[in-house]
Amino acid sequence: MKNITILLSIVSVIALLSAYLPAQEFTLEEDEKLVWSGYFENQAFFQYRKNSDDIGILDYNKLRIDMSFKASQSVTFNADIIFSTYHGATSFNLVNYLPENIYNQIPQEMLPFLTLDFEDDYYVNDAYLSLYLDGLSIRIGKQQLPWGTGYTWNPTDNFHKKNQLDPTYEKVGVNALKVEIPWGLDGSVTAVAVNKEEVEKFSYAARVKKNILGFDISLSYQYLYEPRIDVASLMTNTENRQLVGFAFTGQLFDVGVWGEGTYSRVDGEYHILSDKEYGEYLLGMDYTFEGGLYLVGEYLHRDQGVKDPEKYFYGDYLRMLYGEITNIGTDYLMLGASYPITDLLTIQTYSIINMQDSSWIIIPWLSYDAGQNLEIMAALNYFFGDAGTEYGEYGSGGLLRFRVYF
Amino acid sequence: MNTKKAKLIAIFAMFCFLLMVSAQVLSETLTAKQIMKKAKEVQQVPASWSVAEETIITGGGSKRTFLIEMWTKDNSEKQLMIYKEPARVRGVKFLFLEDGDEIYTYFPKTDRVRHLASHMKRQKMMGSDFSYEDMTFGDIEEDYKSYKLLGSEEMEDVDCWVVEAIPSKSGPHYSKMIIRVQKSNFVTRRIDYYEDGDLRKRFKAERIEVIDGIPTPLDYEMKNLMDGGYTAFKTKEIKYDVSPSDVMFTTRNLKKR
Repeated sequence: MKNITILLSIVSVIALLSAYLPAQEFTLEEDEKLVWSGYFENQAFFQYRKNSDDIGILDYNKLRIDMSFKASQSVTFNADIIFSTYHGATSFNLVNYLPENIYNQIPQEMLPFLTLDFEDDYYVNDAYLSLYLDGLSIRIGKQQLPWGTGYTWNPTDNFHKKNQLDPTYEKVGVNALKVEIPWGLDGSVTAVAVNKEEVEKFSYAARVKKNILGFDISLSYQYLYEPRIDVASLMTNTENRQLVGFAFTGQLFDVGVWGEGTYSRVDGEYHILSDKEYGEYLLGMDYTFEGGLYLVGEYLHRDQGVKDPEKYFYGDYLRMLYGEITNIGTDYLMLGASYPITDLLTIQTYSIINMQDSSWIIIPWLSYDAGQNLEIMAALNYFFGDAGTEYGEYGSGGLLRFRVYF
Repeated sequence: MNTKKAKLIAIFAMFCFLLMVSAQVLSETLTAKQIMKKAKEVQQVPASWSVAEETIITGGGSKRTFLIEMWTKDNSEKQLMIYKEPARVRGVKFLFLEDGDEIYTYFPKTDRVRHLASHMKRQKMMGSDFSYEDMTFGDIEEDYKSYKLLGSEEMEDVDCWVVEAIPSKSGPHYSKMIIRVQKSNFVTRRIDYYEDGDLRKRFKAERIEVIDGIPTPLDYEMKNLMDGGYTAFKTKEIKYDVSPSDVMFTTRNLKKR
């Protein structure tokens, strides 16, 4: 992986130089068919590790190269490849982030498997062919399927894993075939076949979307095959689930409102820590005041969450770490605010509250538009709560991120 | 030249003079609302395509430059803006429907289309001094509760009407707008935006050229009089003989890459 490090070093120098060039005059090439772009990003994460009573620093370099090829008005190809290198505290022992009572539940023989190692890597994040035909569009390949209207959580998006601490960060694409048929000018019918990682069988989903009385409303059905971790053996099984879902977004008076929900039924054997049938619902609102202060809030309810915080189980944490579930408890609140201090500097805060055990996270965030193509972001993560609560025993930390586009 | 011919020329000259005077008198008798309607009609072209360079100078003096492709249709009731440069914003799109009542945004980073709630419309668009609601003219009847002709004024050697427009609840959030409309072509040359009695922003249109018979401001800028920053648009190319499809102005099309 030494080659990746050298490549990243060269590109980062070029990208940094280009970002500091003065704003230039642009020209538009009408017939541009092949376009290359991308960014270089450096992120330094730091986090308190309670087991060793120190602060671990992980430095992460990422180079994303995007390619867009327009073969004709109706045929396009897009791809992006990500190269990454990790330095510093590249080995994360997950027990550092578990409450003590949960740690004590874990079978000793399982402990060696609870270490997460970050290794230099490169992978195809997205690569898809799009066909735009009369009354039909088809997209095939590794692609984004951003279903749902929620900011922090998306019960209707069962294709991607979202990072709750940074929900707008890009996600890895999923291998899928998507067919979309327009329904008037403000609606569509979409069908997808998705092959999820670690699962042989294809999952299928369909969605109908229409604007009704100013609200974008969608109804969906999903027939899913998903990987499920056996918390006793750490082996992966496949679970078959069907769900119906809805999503909407619009405004009431001057307030932006959105929501989404799903009701799932597991066919055959279901996870020991789950129910056979369960729902997940989200409601969100936002508002911007005259001076630019923006407030946002979301409420999430999960039927399959653990109702009594005393009964949190290490398996719930494992499922969360493997991305099977978003949270452990049943009811959550997200509260956020942002304010532009200057035209180039914005401050945000973002909190997630577990309403059962009263533990919570707060993430103050500064974003600086440092140049024509340079962004700098700094964030802190503070965790609050009693021992044994969901967020109470995470080590607080933060990150510093530089991103240069080219 | 015989006397008869001289008389005919004199009558014709007088006729032309009377015609010009009557046109001038007629134009002077236009009401404020009629002037604003005419000013909007000038902007209401069936369709257009243009490429403009947008330069933002922040209050602190930092400079950002963007290249934007713009499409309009149905007398500018529908507008599509596509950011082409720099790389940081490439592929960001804004769709304005129903004269700006409905605004959708698309960010390629998240591949997500968002509907902009009305409280967002007064916010700066991509850090510029134009708010989302500044990008469209709005509805002359519904979005303004009154118009008042304040008089005429020479502005940089151009004779203009000065009109005061008071927005209604459904209109822009400003308390008052003072609009200068060029008498000879009904082009809006300047708009002063007031909030709570204070002059906050000033829009100016310059480099007016007649393209395909349509008087077109090729340069325009918005000055933020509170912090000294400004945003300038310089049109690099513009065409009116285009016929974009309806599908182009749909949220579905925003995701087309």
